[in-house]
Amino acid sequence: MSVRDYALLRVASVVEATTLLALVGVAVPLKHFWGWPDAVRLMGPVHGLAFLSFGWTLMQASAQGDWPRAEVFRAALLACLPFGGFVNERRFAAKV
Amino acid sequence: MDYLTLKSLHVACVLVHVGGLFANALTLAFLETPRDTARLAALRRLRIWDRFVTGPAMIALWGLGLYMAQTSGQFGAAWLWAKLVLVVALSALHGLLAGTLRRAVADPLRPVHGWIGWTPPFLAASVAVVAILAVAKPF
Repeated sequence: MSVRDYALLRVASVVEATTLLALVGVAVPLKHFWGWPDAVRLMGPVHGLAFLSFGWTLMQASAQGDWPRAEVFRAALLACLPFGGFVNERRFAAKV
Repeated sequence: MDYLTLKSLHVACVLVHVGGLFANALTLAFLETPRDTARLAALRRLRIWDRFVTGPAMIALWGLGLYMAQTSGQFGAAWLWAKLVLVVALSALHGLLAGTLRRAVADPLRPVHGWIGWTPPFLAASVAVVAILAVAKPF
């Protein structure tokens, strides 16, 4: 895998992590505490697309680099947790 | 843009994406090792097609699909959630096939994994179920 492939994976990780934080940390409180659901309506699909992009990039990289299944599973699990995407980004940066 | 126009564009993107998926899956399933120069050239062209046609079609179909589901208020429907599970699996499979295609071009001596042989029938079954869910909306 090239440096460019890893760079793409790192960008996808950061975008996924940032949109998850925006959804969970900003949009959801705005909906439940201030009665403003529009932020969730906007950030839900945005994070959905970011998560899909990360998942697609992860699958492509894992097939291309023949990664062990445990590593793919760990990255997918981390992507579901707040700040986990940033941990993924650091892990991918260390692989370059 | 009205709902029917969006739906037509969504279906057009689905057709292009599924066509690309079958091209990748069937090519890789029947691929022999070692790969000669002509076969590698064909794989490179398929990779370009995947990058500039199949991939963008997938992004467009997801964008249009999520927008339609949200604006039409159908996000709570059970058939849509069942369809979502399948299309997420199909998108992940596309990522795996795209990565395998890249590796097949980069290393002509390395055989592809055995599970690739199962992807064409899996694709056919999944696409059939997605079509039934989207058109008949059984639940």
